[in-house]
Amino acid sequence: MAELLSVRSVTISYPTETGTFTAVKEVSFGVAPGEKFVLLGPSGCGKSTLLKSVAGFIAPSAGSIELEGRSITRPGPDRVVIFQEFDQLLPWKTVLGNVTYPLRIARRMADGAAREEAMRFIRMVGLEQFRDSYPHQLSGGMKQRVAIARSLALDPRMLLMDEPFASLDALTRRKMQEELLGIWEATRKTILFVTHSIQEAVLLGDRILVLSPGPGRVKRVLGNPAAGRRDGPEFLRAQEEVQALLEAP
Amino acid sequence: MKKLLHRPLVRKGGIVLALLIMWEAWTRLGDVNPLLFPSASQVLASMIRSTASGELPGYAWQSLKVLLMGMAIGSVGALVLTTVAVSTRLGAEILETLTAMFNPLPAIALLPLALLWFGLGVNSLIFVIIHSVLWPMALNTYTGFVTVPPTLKRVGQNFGLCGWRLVTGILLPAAFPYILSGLKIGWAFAWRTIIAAELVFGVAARQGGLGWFIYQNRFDLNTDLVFAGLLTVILIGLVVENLIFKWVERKTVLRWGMSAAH
Repeated sequence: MAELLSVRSVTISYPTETGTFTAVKEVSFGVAPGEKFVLLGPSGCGKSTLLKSVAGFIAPSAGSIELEGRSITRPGPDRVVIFQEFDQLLPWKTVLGNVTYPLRIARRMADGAAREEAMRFIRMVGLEQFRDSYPHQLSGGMKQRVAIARSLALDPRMLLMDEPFASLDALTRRKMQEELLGIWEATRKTILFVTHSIQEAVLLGDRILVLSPGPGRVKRVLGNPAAGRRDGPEFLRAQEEVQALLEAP
Repeated sequence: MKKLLHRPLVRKGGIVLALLIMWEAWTRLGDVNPLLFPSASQVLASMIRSTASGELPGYAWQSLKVLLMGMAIGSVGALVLTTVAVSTRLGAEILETLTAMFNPLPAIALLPLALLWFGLGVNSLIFVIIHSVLWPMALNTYTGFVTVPPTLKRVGQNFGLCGWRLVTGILLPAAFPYILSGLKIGWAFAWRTIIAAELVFGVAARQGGLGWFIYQNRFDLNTDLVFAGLLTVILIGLVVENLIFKWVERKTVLRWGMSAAH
């Protein structure tokens, strides 16, 4: 199967006052089209840095990152990031405006067509009654839904999700995970998902890359037959396996 | 009726009315020389007469025209300074040093120098207005730009925006609450400065503003018109600050839930 995204021996380091800090060291993995690929690891393992590198915000110090065989050099609407922070929506635009705006600038759609396309995805995340609300009038979960709608509307090659549900309360997080699974069923978008939650990784990831911290290295890539299920023996077994892998020295 | 009294605007209107009545009573009952302190009714009558004849509005418009020109140039200057400050560290240090130096200097203190450089005329006025507007606006706009959440910048880049399109699409609207508060401060400084500057020297005939109107009428001992001029200064200040800026705030930062936390 041809890879959509190829990450080859990527090392990311920053200069700091005391020397060079290496966040990620010689990480390699590939993501297949239509796959849900999870980067899992404790805080400080460089998983977010790795995602920002795929997004084009941070250039790797060594190694290569390629999307469909083309080297990634800068951010672009073919890889849309969904951030953890609620302030990723433009506060001066309504829900509809937030989804329409990138369609006009990145996909160069005309006003009417952009609005129509935007509404399709706003409906998909169930926010059609809130189309004229401003972000500050929405709850955290609703804001993340708008961010997801905005990203999908751009029709990117990949969705890059950087702990998008980590700031939500437990109930909302659960609901959002279910909704994301539903959206993936409907769209089959390739997803690169960063999380520190084992439960979330096992629920969402077709494959799970477990990173070890300081600097971040690949521990192992696990296939996950339990993806999409929240209970049953398979789910529990997968959780235990990942847990054991994380705790292993 | 009781409910009406609970509204702040109604109560404040009541205070103004009470002040007017006290003023009127004092000038009528007390032993006051009307040449020094005319009665409220006399002042209001003169004000209405002068407004109807177009004299007072003409002077006010002259002041506002010069002020708007100065503010426009000052705002563009502030934007240029801010752009330089945002793009390089040296630029930021230049802006901080210049603002620290010039902010404490009252614009009016530059008027003698302006007269020396630009002569008696509108140009000198514009120069001091620019000075009164430029520094507070630059400082506020700069604060606005540097406090834009990094996530928002990344979102813009993610859409494929860069350079000037990132500035107009993301940075400017995100910094708007600060820019607006810079404009408010700039206006407040500029309005006080222009009246003061016009008082110091009368601009060449037919070009004077409100300050000149006040000065001239004092010279002719038309004390009622001096009061009318002062009231107009207050009135325009109130309208701009409480109606125009409040309206803009309601349409923008309040609606967006964005407020510049100072």
